[in-house]
Order: sequence, then C-alpha cells, then structure tokens
Amino acid sequence: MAPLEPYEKVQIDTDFLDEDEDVHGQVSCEKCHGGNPESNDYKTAHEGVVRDPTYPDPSKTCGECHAMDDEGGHPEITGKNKTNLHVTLAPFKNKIYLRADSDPCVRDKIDDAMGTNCSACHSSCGQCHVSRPESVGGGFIDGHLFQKTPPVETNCTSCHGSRVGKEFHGENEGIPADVHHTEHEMACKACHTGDEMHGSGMSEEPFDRYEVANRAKCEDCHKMAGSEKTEADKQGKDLVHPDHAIHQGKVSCQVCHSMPYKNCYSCHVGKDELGAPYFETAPSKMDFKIGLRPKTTEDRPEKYVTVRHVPVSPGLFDFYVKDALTNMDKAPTWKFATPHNIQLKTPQNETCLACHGNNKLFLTEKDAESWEVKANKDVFVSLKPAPSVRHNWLEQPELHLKKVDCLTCHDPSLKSPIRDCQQCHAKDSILLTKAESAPEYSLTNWNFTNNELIEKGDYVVGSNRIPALDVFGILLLILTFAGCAIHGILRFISRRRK
Amino acid sequence: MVGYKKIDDSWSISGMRSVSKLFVMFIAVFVFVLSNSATFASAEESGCVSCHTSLKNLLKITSAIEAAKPNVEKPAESKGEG
Repeated sequence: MAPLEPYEKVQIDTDFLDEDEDVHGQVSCEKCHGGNPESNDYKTAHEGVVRDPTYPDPSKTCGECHAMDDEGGHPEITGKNKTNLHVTLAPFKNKIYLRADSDPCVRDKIDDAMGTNCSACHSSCGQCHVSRPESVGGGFIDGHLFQKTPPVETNCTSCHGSRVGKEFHGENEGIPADVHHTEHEMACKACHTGDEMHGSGMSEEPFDRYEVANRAKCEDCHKMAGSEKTEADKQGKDLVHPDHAIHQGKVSCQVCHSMPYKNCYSCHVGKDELGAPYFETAPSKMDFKIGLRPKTTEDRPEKYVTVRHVPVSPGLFDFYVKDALTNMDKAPTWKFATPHNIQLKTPQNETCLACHGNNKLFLTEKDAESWEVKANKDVFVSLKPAPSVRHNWLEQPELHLKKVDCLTCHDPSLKSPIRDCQQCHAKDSILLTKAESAPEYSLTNWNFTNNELIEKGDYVVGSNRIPALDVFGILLLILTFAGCAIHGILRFISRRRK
Repeated sequence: MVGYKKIDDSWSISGMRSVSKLFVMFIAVFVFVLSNSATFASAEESGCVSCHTSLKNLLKITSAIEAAKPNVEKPAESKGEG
C-alpha cells in the first residue's frame, strides 16, 4: 500500500459536499472535529481539533444517527461499540495481563508499554469508513467520502496483512491464495459482516476473539449434506464428502483445508532515543501444526485445531520493565488459529494416511522452547502409534493400508469400524458392494469374480476367484473320491469271486 | 366608570406581560438557534472546507508544517513482522 503525501491525507473531495454523494457532508466540520472554522490561520483554526472524533466513543458523532437499528430498540453499530474488539483490543490485553506479574508497579509499566507500542493498532468508525487506520499512517481513503464497506487494501489488510492478508492473497512463496479469493473473488466482508465488525453486542466482553458470538463461521455457508439451509445461507457447497461426517465436531475445518501458514516468534518492543516506538521480532516461519484446543465450546467443539505460534516472549517488555511476564505458563504460545489460505485439496487431506500417522503435522513438546513447554501442555498432541501398528490385528497390515480405502472399514454410517475379515474376503465382498456394483456370478464363468478388483491391480483372497475353476475343482474332488470308491468296490467284488 | 377603568388597567397590565413573555421567548429561541446554527450548517458553509478542498492551500500549509518539523535523525526502524 503506497503511503499518502501529507496533503493527500487531508484533502477533501468536493463530492463529499454533495448531498447526493454523501449525506455526511451536510454536517458541519466542527460539529464532529471541533476547532475554529472562523479563523483564517491554520494554527488557530486547528486549536482543539480532534482528528478522529469517533475514537474511543462515537456516541456523540456517529451515534447521533447510527446507535440503534431501524426498529429503534436493538443496539446496532455504535450501540455495540463497547463490545467492538477493533476498538477495545480486549482479548489482546486479556492475554497480556494473564501472563503479567501481579505487582501494580509492573502492571503500570506494562500499561505504559502497551499504550506506546501496542494500543495504536486499534480501529474506530472513522478509521474504517473514512480514513486509513492511524497505525498505518492515516489519511483519507477517498477525500473524506464515507465508505460503506471499508476497502480491503487500505483498511483490512493494512493491519491484518502480515498473516491473514498474505495468506488470503497467496503472497507467501509456494502457497496458493485462498480458494475463496481465487475462485469466488470474495472479499473480507463476504464472511466478516458488518454485524460482526461492529461488535459482538454480548453482555459480557469476550475474553478471546473466538468467543465472539456473531463471528464468521465456515458453516454459515457450507452445510452438511441433508442439514437444513436457512434463507441467510449463501452459495456455499454442501459438504457431501463422507470425511466430513467422520471429522465433524472433532476436527476444525482448517486442519484438513488450510495450507502452511505464518508463525511469529520473540517480539520485543521499545522506544528509540527520540521516543518513537519500535518492535523487533525473530524471523517468522511457515509451518502447519495441529494441536489440541484446551477449552472447547458448545458451538465450537472441535478438539483438533490448527495452532499458530504467537510472537509473545518472556522479554517482550524488557525495555520498560524486566521480567514483566512472570506468568508465561498461564496462556499457550501456540494459539488456536484459522489460517486464511483454504484449499479444497491440501497435502494433509490427500489421503487419510497423509494426516493419520503423519507425526510431523502434530504439535508436540519438541516444537516448543523450554520456557513454553508448560504453557502449551494442554495444546500438545499425544502421538498415537503408527497406523500399521494400530492395524496389526490384520494379516499383512501394511498391504491392507496400502490397498484398501480406509472408508471401506471406517464406514461413517456405522457405529464402529468393520473388523470381520469375511466382509471383504467373500464373493459378495463389500469392496464392491459398497460401490453398488454387486456382481452376479455364474458357476460356469471362466473370468475372475469381482473382476473390477483385479483390474485395479488387487487380488483379494476369497473375493477373487474363477467360478468354473471352483466347479472343476469340486468335480475333480468328487471324481477322486468316486474313483477310490469304485476301485474299492471292484477289489471287494474280485476278492469274493476268488 | 370605575369598574370600566379597572378592567382597562388590568387589560393593559396583562397585555404588557404577554408581550414581555413573547419577547423573552423570542430571545430564547433566537439564542438557541444561533448557538446551534453550526450543527445545522452544512460542511459546505464551513470555513474549514475552503482550505481542505484547495490543493494549492494544502500543499502550501503541509509543506510549511513539514519544513517546521525539527530535522532529526531517522527513528529506529522496527524489524520483523508485526
């Protein structure tokens, strides 16, 4: 995003004054911004001017018209401002306070550090709908014309750029852009509606941003096959693949459908000699890790989720106060994440075994530094034995894992997996009946039964046989017995004659 | 006669009071409207607009502001991704 020249930041487009273009231009400047419009000198004219009159409380500006919904009884837009996380940054502060030392002096210094280095990353009505956020230099988006939908580049990814923006637009080397962007040209607003952006409206401020009730959810568009669709449902594809029925409620969507994403490490903040804030982080790493979610909720019950390393480190505030974060164990540094680089097909969902038994994908103690092991103890996954070990009750487990589709035995419609060998090793093998192509056999047929399996390169004992050979073998057996019997009878008769 | 005069006086006194009340109300309304005129005035009528829509003015003033800033060394740059 190209920076604006100083004059560009404050130049008002005359269209703003046209009522047909923007009704907000009918309100006098000083009504919102203060200052002295009578003065011809820019210094005195700007005395008392408030650059962003919508932060932190927009009730006296935007709230004059946008406090309630059309019916006038339900808090809407500014009415929900106190629960707007873009304004309050509450979850971010909550996590820092959770890790912080309880000493009031230390807390004061942390507040100072956060005020200087972190809190600038807030937004407001004005910093979404009128100007770029101050944290990225500010300046009008379009000559003070109010934007009903904030532009993605100047107002969404200007703050959410390092991770979400780059993931969504495919700017991480070797990682494709999110399918919602490439295939459907969806922008942020398609999922993150104004209702969510303007605040949760919850009576209690959520501790974590994923606790927000009206947050975006994949299932708002993508319904399980057969589940009821509402009017609000959009054009999302139904989840017809049987894998969804198996993993639903246990595994988050991103575990199967996101690509490797960015993880950040070791942030340190400070001020230079001139008092300007700065930060330093260690190089970020592209990685993909599945961890456990320590606290699941009713509407998000998935235990296995993608987790991202957050940049917090014990020395985060060392410039301001040493050893400020003495309770690093209180919150994980590998945090539940929803990467924005969704693909239908990913390396981990290519086959079942690409994930099951692929220990590299799972977060374990080995992925953590010594100081963060305790903090992440509830996030680490206990690795299970390799699939070949778990299936060692089978004859030739490796061969079975290689040749048999997992869903053949792990049928999502059954309460437990099939463990009966004869379900496959029989003429009416489920290997084919599941495909609804149960063959009819003729005892005189000289072809293999279940010939489809042979064509796939598989020979399944008991399932693949030549019926005519079976008949021939039985006849041969009968003839052998008959020959023996006749031979015996003839010898018996010949002895009696003697 | 006495009764009529009495009535006339009372009329003139109450009339005077009504006029005074009207006058006070008029002043109050006038003051209220005047004090709130800025609220109802459009941005177009504001003195701010003449400057903030003029590229020439803005260039001149922002250049002056930039020039007035102390010529200091570049502040420490952040390293890494925020």
